[in-house]
Amino acid sequence: MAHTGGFVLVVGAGGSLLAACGGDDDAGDGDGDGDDSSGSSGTIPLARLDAPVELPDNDSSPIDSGLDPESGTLTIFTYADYINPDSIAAFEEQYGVTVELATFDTEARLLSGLQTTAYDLVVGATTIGLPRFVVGNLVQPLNRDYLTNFANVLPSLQSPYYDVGSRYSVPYTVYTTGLAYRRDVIDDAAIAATGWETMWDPANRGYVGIIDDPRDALTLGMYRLGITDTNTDDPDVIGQARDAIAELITTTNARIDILAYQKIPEGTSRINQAWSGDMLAAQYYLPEDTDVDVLGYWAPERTTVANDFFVIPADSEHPVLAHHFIDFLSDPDNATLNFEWVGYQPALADPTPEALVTAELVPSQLTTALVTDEQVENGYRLDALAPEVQKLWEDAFQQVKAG
Amino acid sequence: MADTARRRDRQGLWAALTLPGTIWLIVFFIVPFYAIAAVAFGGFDPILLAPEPTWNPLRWSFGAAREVIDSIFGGPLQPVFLRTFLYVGIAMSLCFLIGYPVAYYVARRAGRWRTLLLVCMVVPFWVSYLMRMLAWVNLLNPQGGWASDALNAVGAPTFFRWFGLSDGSEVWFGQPVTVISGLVYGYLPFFILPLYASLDRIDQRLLEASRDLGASPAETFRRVTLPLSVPGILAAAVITALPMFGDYYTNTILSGSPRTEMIGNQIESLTRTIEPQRGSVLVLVLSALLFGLMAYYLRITIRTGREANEARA
Repeated sequence: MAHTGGFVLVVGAGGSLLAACGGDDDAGDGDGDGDDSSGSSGTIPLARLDAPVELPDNDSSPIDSGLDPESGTLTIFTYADYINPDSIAAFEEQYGVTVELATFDTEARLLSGLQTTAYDLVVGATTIGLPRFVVGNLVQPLNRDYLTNFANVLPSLQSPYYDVGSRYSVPYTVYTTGLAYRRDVIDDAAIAATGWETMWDPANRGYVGIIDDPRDALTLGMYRLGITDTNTDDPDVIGQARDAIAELITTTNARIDILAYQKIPEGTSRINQAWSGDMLAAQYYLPEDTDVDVLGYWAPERTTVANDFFVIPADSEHPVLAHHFIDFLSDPDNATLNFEWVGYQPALADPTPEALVTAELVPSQLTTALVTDEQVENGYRLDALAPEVQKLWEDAFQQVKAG
Repeated sequence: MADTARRRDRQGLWAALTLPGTIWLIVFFIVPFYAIAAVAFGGFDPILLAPEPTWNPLRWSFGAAREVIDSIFGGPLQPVFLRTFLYVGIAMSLCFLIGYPVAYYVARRAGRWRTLLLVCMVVPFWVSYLMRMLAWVNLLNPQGGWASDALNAVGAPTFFRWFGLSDGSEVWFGQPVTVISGLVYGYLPFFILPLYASLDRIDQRLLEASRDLGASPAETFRRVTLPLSVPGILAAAVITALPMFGDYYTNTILSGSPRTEMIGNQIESLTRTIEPQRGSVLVLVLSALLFGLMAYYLRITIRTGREANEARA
């Protein structure tokens, strides 16, 4: 078992404290008094890349080994367009079941959905929500016996820092945050030279976009300023990032949304902060008369890296079938089929980035959007924050959005 | 005695007829509204980042409300409120300037074309609001959108820059004029129809009397038609202003720029934050504003009705 550490935010009705269990000190001072009327109590482990965390036991137990998959309907809670319908059809045929999808659009909606509805499987959870799912008894530990393809998970994510031992999660996709751009307007060499600063170029006024997420958007401002502490609790740093984004909006009239995968192909945007997976998927949104060569993606060697994962809700009525679905999509061939439609790179060793290019699923100029295991290991991460630190980020972003 | 009992029974029947409406109102308005208040003045689970509604008003806390109010008066929400009032005000004025002549023509001048014109006014309702807005995304596409090309060809960006409704860019997304136009386009039919109904109900004999007494057509319009259509104008204004104030998807689809952010967008954003109570507070603040608008409308309507009854008596 890997060493564990990180910070544990202890939140209680009458007060709170942050117990440092080792590691760095950028997890916030975490007094956790987000609201004095709360009746909750518990601990939220705040994992960091250099301070991994083994998530604690919760009220759920893993299912027993050797059980047959349940029949009926597997209900999956996921982002829209995040699983290939052909993959679902193949799973349904193989197991003689039906799969129903329910969708969320943000981690907050995922969190509230898990508290109100019994889903069988979640596809698309992130490191920001995971510790809350575990401490809030919303997810159950996994039984690795059913996950025969687990060895295919990227080596750096087999025992990830946010869930040492992969007790509750299995990686699904991996992606970076960078700049999507139109290569018929912005030159590859120019963006490589100016990097993040290209976003602030007034020449692109009206054609600029920022990701509609406080963490991603403000991190863009930090990168411009050379700051890489992406989980900072320093109000000054967050304020500087806010000012940088406000300047970006003034200079370029940037729009805030998560539509880079549509806007870059259709030409209504020339440069967008974007997730690499959106750019890999953008080729499917190109107008008929537009060549795929116009799509470009730039990210520095070290940038924000994230991986979404599978978790099984504590009250799943088909937990065995849910394990089988995870295993199904972790199979190299099934993962490749899924990638063909989703565009987000599987967090697996096989298919490799090279294999995806060879299979002509990724245009050659978009290999920059593919993520290597080394990048995953060294990337900057957006991790769960103490409530009052998260509020700092959100308030700063709200100020920007208010114009 | 029998008459009294019969009258009482009849009153009971009338009261019973209001029951479905009363239940509807309680289930779909009062209960949800109270739930919003319970969230706005309730607590928050810092682990699950979820609001914890407080149902007992005696235990309500007003921290989030104070924060929002402070933000409206001198904080980040102030420009959002001012912008919303400005956009809705301009959009309403344009609805009046465009909608009144149309409603007047259909009600009083269309003759045998009236039915066809009415159908034409209702046709937009057959297509969802969202689809109509998405159509404008294509029309305004800077890469060959027809509307975009036409507007740029006649120098519209410069024209709107004079009024401060555009930065002069040939990209129409993210411009105030685009959001305002979207609001007008989306809600104009809602403005015209009640106004048409009001104009159509004006007694023709009153207009004839005005002409008989020597008033010119313009004077008849100014001194008879226009005053008599005020309740219709107010009804149309209320019906369109209420959804305009809370609208967020017109702005989201046609702009997405913080420079055009309206109250509805802020509500949508705040409900996704760590303290969704602030979004609920903003809903209550907006509801209070709209209630004031509604109360003014009701006051005018009641007064007009009373004056009409007195005139008839």
